[in-house]
Amino acid sequence: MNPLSAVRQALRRRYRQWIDRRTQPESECYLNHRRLYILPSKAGFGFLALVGALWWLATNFENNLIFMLCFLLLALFVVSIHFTHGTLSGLRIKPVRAQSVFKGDAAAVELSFSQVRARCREQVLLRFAGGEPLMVTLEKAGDTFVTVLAPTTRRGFLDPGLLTVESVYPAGLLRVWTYIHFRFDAAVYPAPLSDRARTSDRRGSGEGHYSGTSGSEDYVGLKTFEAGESLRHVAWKQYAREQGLWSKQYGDPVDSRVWVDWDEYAGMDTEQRLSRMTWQVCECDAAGKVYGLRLPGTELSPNQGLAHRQSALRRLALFGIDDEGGAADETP
Amino acid sequence: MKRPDWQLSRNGLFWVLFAFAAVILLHLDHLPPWVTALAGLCILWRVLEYRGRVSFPPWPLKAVLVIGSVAGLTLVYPSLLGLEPMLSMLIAGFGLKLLEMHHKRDAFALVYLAFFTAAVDCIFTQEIPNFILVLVTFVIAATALVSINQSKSRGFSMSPSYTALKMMATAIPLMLALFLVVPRLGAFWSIPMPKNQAQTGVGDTLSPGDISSLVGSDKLAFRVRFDGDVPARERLYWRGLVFSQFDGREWRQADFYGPDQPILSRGSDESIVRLGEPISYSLTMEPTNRRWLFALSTPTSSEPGIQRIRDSRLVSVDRIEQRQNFTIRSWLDYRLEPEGLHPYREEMERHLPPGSNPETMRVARKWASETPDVEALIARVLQLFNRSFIYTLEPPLLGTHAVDEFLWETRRGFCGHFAGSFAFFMRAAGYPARVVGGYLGGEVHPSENFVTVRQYDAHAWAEVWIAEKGWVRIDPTAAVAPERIEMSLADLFDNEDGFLADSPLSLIRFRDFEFVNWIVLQRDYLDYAWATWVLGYDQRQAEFLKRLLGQVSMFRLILLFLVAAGISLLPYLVKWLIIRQRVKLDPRDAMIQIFCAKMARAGMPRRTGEGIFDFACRIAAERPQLENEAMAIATTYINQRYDKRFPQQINELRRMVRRFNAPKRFE
Repeated sequence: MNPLSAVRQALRRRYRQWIDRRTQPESECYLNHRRLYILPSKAGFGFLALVGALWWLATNFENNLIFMLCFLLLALFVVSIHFTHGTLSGLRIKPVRAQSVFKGDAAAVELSFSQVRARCREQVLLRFAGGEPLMVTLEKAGDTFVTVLAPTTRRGFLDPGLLTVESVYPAGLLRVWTYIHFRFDAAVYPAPLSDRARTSDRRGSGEGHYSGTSGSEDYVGLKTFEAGESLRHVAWKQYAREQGLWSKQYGDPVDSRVWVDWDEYAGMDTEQRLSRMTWQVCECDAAGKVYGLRLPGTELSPNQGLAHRQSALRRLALFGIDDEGGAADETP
Repeated sequence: MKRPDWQLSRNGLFWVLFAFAAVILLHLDHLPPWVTALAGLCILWRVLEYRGRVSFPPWPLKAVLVIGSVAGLTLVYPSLLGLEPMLSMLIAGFGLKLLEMHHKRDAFALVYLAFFTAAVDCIFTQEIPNFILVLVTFVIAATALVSINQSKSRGFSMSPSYTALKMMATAIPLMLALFLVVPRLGAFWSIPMPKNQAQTGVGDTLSPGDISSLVGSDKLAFRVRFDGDVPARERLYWRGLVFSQFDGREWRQADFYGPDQPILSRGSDESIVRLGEPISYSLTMEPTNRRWLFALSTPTSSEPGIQRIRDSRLVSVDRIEQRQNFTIRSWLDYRLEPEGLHPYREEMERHLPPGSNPETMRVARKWASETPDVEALIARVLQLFNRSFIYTLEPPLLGTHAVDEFLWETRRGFCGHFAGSFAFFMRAAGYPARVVGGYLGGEVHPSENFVTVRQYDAHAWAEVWIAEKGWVRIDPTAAVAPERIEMSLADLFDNEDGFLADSPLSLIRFRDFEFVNWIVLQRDYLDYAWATWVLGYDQRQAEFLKRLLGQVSMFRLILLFLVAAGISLLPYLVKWLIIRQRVKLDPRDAMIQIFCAKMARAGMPRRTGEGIFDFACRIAAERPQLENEAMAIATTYINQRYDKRFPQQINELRRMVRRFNAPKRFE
């Protein structure tokens, strides 16, 4: 590695640290001169080279008109600081909602951009560190809602890191940008880690206190479908005959109760355990089982449905993380 | 990582093409036709490519085009280092680059090239209309710059040009400040100027018909601003050339490097006696591609690029290829070489080709013996002119012995005829005499102390050397047509065919109308101000800055820039102040904000992104004693804010929020 790039990396690291210190988590932000950074873009340096070339031309030909044109461009560069700054300045950005996802998936984060007056702000680039960039154009007064994908790297509350908002509009000569740190109430679930081997092991031993995967032999009857129930259990035949939306009931609810239990996974580190438990919750939910969750100090009584799945996953996600959203620093 | 906006927007493509077309139109005169054709073809191809009619040119074709253009340029131009070949190369390159312009990056480069090539046009011409065209091209290029930064999806629109104009307008005060302040360095090295156009103005030879051909043109010759009052019109003899050599047909200038050393070294002044006070003025010459200046006798100038000639003239060291300013002082009363002439010079000033114009020779010798006093002889010749000659713009053509024919047969002529035959006559009578070419008078602008001299003011007169008096100006035209001296040719020959024959639409033809006359005067003045304040600003920069700032110090210069920036940003400041008057919050939203603030104080802030109803539910769950009030406030707010069927009863909501009181949780 050449020494220059080492220097560059060091500088970049220092810069990151500085930015991190400056950018505190916030619940909404108003962009103004205090937090907007502005510097010439690559094209801007090219433009300055053009100004230099014109100056050379004017000097060499002792031509005052070319001097005037040269200064016009230089002045254009200077005033474009004002205009480029105006592309972001006066914008209010608020997080609206974020989707809970498994660690490693990109979370869709909805943001609202509001401006008091209609002002054309073109080509505003939004990007979470490591995420897909998104280009938006804001034109109307009031709120504009934008969904940005944020990569997730640790479980807990969704903390997508710094959101970079930048633009080079209108002249492209300067780049104005800012970093925003939003926290969300949404959770990042642990990445599910397949535990199929263990599960089949258990079944082989024949002493599992939860029943097989589907329990299809224990078909009991139909009951009205409730929102949140697994679609796998919908009685599609009846639905197709236009007899209404029913869900099929299998087996004895008491018999198919399952516990996803922390103690089952002894001997692994916390994240491993949580990942496997997450997988287990997903499996149980997919199979339409009634399941409960046991974590040290907390227990979620057995139930089923979307809401139950979410609260189970949320508990797994926030396990060991205090309610105020402080980071779980033991995570990688 | 590639930014998502690397692709060129459609609108950007359009405007870059416009900018390129504008640049080509600007340079139409300076490009070989095939370069223009190539550029046009490239634009056409790019448009067809955009519409999907043709595909991108394959690389062999591009290679052939590039090699072909370079080869073509080397064939057309002897050297590729001049301005014109470089310009052609840039334009050809621009066109070829257009064919493969897909990225924003390329578009930026092309827009910069458009700015540059448009600016180059100012080297060729510096007239106001031309500069306006360059500015228009700049606006188009700036629009292209804005449009390439727009979203990709936009179709053609004019909107970026408003943005560009707004930016340009904001930039102007700053530009002026920079223009005033930034010091100009001299040229680093000289680049051959574009091959000019013909030489204009009074030429370095004079044959009888020459001056009358100039009378056809109302083109500007030069302008003069006097520091004091403008001298009387009959003293405004702008001497440019002295014709000392006669070959029987044509008068020519003497060699600058003759044995009498006509070029005076700095400070040597022995041959001129200057009387009275000098007048000073600044002369703004139009490009003539010649070296001589037109000044009142006897002139001096302290400017570095100017040489003085023994016959009381100023000559620029370099050809005058651009409009140029000179500061000159002249003594209108003088004796030029009163003590005698250099022998070589005297020989030249008396010389006549043998056998030329025999009749004139005979008469001159006869008159000289009859009238030995030179001044009496001059008076006698002028009397002859006065009595039987006619001053006209369209004299009959003359044969071999032009002076003979003119003096004794046709007797109709123009100033060149009179001056030439007079000088010939005096030489034939044995006195040193010569013809002087230049301009007479000019248009005096009443209020501004300034004089505009046009080509039709061209004039020729004679000088005769008289012992102890030196060279004395004799204007035989004055004897024939004294009114020529007093009025301008425009007034004299208003209706004659030869006058302004080359400029059929000249406004000067219609000066009888008060209004047209006013326009002509204003145009002249604008042109003059342009020449001195813009084109020649570098020559007066130091003086002007001193006058503007009182004293040129860093502090005051910075102040100047701040003032300029203030003027630029004033409209935006005003707008900002107006906007700052806060936008009134909807009263219902304001109530909810109060409600949330109360809850926050009670230790239960509303979460980011939490709907008001969700918030109320959370309150109900966590603080059951507040459930009723919170739910009532939330539902009332929602109904009033979003359900049009509910009557607008803000007071109801206001009362509820006012009454609402959330105690801190006791645990």
